[in-house]
Amino acid sequence: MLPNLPIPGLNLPAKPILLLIAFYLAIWFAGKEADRLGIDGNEVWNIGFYALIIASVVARLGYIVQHWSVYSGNVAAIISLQGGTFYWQAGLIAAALFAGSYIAWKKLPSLKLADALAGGVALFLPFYSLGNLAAGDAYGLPTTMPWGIRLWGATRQPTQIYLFLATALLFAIVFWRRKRAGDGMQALWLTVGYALSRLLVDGWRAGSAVWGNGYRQSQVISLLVLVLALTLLIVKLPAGEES
Amino acid sequence: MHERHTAKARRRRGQRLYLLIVLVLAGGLAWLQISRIHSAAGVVSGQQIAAPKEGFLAPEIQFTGLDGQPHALSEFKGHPIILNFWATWCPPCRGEMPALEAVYKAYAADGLLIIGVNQMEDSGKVSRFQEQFHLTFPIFLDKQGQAGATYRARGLPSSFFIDQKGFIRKIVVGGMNEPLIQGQVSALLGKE
Repeated sequence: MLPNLPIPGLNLPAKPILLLIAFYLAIWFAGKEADRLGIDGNEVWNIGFYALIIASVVARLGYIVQHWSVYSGNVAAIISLQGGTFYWQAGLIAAALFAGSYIAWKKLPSLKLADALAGGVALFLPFYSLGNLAAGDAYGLPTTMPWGIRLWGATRQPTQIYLFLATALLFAIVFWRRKRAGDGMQALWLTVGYALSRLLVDGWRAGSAVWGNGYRQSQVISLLVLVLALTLLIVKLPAGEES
Repeated sequence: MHERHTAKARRRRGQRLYLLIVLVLAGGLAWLQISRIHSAAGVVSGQQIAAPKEGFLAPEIQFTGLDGQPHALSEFKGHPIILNFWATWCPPCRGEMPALEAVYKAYAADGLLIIGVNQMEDSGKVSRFQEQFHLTFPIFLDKQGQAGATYRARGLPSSFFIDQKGFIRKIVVGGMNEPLIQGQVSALLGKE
């Protein structure tokens, strides 16, 4: 675990910095992929930049709405930014809606763009797992396995490392088959691979939100996404790619 | 003849692929069942282990009162608590003190306790600071920095929002403003 970067005199949190670097690399790689597929790479930078701004603004508004009883009596505090006062789920949904609308408005080739963005997302995901490892987030259940890691008062399943390995493999696959990208299959393969990874790895996660009789929300959602993406993949799969 | 072969091959391929989906679904459901959380409350809230992490029990710590008397966090169990690690030389710590005091006054009747744990400064300096900022919530000294080390409070200020059962619900590193503190306290008290 390395919650802060080991820079003397500075107290910089490792995870947000890793995520920022990963975001930049992801947009850069997706832009390169877009150029290769015949789309202006600047469009990817536009989508990434505006999506980040929209996600931040909506996440902030979402937090204010959530805690309206607090802000209604202190309107000036609405513009007083503070770490931890963002509702990122709302921000992510808004960013996705913006990206979809931008693609439709600019009449960009959506399947090619989806494949270009898939390359960027595939590059981002292993960094995300490393960030979780550094911060001690997304930790596993206690285990007696010899490869367990000591974290939060117990020897635990190294779920962050499992997901890092799975997503690094996914990036390798996406990178290897990128010459065949352009028909939306890269994005579908990535979705299948990531949903499968989360379905498996989250089975060893602690601290998960659950539904019903102890079923982890993330696993249920992953299974639904996996089956849906697999169905789409099979419907679209060219005969030669079946194997 | 060739067309019949092609149609047959396509049909066989379709059947194989749909079989794959059924197998994935069955395997996925089996894994969901095998890996489901049996004692939901325990795992969701991070087990009954003490660790300085959201969802875990707040670790026990000892500190010293400004009068020199020893105290422990467990003395305050049963209250919603904001455990605030701070120092007089830290500008964001100074910045958030009026907000902490205002929230303390507003929610004291609901049982909220704010516990300021000063990091490795002498009692005279801390007492003067307390008077200067008109702070009424309890302040303790962590003379050797052991309490701060237990909570891995590397950055100051660091605040831990602890519920009545002793579980850490939220950690904020860095200075806080009043709406942020109020929002977290409302969640702690179930007032949202």
